[in-house]
Amino acid sequence: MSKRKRRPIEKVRRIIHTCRMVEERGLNPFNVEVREELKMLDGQLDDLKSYEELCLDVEAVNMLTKVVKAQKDWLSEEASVFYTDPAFIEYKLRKIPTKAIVDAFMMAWKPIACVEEISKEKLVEAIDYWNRLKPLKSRWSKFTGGHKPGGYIELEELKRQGLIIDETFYKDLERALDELREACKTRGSVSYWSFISGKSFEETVRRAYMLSFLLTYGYAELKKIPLREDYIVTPRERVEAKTPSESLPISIDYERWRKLSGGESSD
Amino acid sequence: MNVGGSYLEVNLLTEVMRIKVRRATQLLLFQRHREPGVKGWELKRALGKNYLKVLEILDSELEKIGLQVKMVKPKDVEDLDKARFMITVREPLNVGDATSSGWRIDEIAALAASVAFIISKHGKVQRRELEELLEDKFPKWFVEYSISKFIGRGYLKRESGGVLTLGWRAEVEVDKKLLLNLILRSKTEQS
Repeated sequence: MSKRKRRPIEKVRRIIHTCRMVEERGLNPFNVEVREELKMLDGQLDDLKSYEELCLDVEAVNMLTKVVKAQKDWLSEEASVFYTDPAFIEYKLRKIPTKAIVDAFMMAWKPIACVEEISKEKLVEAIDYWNRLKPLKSRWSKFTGGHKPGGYIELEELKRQGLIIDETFYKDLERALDELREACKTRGSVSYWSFISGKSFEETVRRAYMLSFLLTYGYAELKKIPLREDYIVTPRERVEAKTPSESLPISIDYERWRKLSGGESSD
Repeated sequence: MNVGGSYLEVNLLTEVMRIKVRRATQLLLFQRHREPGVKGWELKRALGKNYLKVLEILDSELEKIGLQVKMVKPKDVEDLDKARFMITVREPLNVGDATSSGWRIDEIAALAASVAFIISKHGKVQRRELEELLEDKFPKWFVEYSISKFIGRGYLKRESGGVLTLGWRAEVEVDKKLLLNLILRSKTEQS
């Protein structure tokens, strides 16, 4: 029973994967039978029950539209660079002498002409800048209050400044895990952005930073929400990674934080 | 008096245009960014709304010394403000010119084969595939060095998943249709 239920969604995932390969790897888009795939998606729509399955179905349709666009581009490319079998061109490239390839390229190559010299105006500007530039010593003293001899800094001071970490980092990490578990108590999972969103921008960045460690150490799981720029975070018992881990950069900027926090700012 | 006035006006206009053409030459020839060339909106800001007319006059002037103004539009973009303008040579160079400007003949051959191979594969190849093709004629170290050089110079572009595409410089400098045509017409070593 469960096997029968799983089948339609696997087909949807297969379509998304194939379309993604066409988009990213430049495979022939005509290898995808768009009409057949759409018919298939239409036929099995009633079998898709959950929200996630329906989102994947929409994503598959979206990916198929991208394949149709890739087919159009493919055709116009063939029309512009008169179509020749790639295998034949490869054969020619392997068989023709190096000199013939060079001669052909020289006929088709018109390099850019540019001058990599400094203009008279820029030179005058540069001399003027040099004349106005104060010696390094006096410029540095403005910021540091003059030259100071080297000294020692206490370990506690380094910890206070956050330059080195001690056991408090792990305590913070435990606290973040507790918070995550608390947030997921009712629904079992929580949206990434709602979890990291804090009262201030600094707090938001700190929560994202702590969460990244929880994910890396295997205490939480991250799943992409289809068609949205968000993820579902689920806490779990620590899992040792069997496959090589992947990096997932998620950028956080001030504007985004302001939107998340409903337009309020810390300043 | 009228005749004299209009004569002065024409002279003034010519002088203004001459200054604009000179300015356009400076803008296009002196490298300002990492990638050569100047965007349409930059030229419009520097030369005024009729910058295309200025470029037309500059092009006819450059023709006398074997150069030309070339425009490259990004894919699927019609807005000229976003196009990039640059000066390229008008007539093909000979091998001697290229080698004297720092290109080795085997590097040119590798570049030609790389560009032609990528065009034939609809603009995208796996780096491994290209390496395999080039290693047919060149040693492995040379292939790796050359591909890195072509990427650095903007002839090839590194995409995710180990994919290589044509870089901005290849799009500007190489007549793709002509290159494929000439390669197809070349005689193979056996014949």
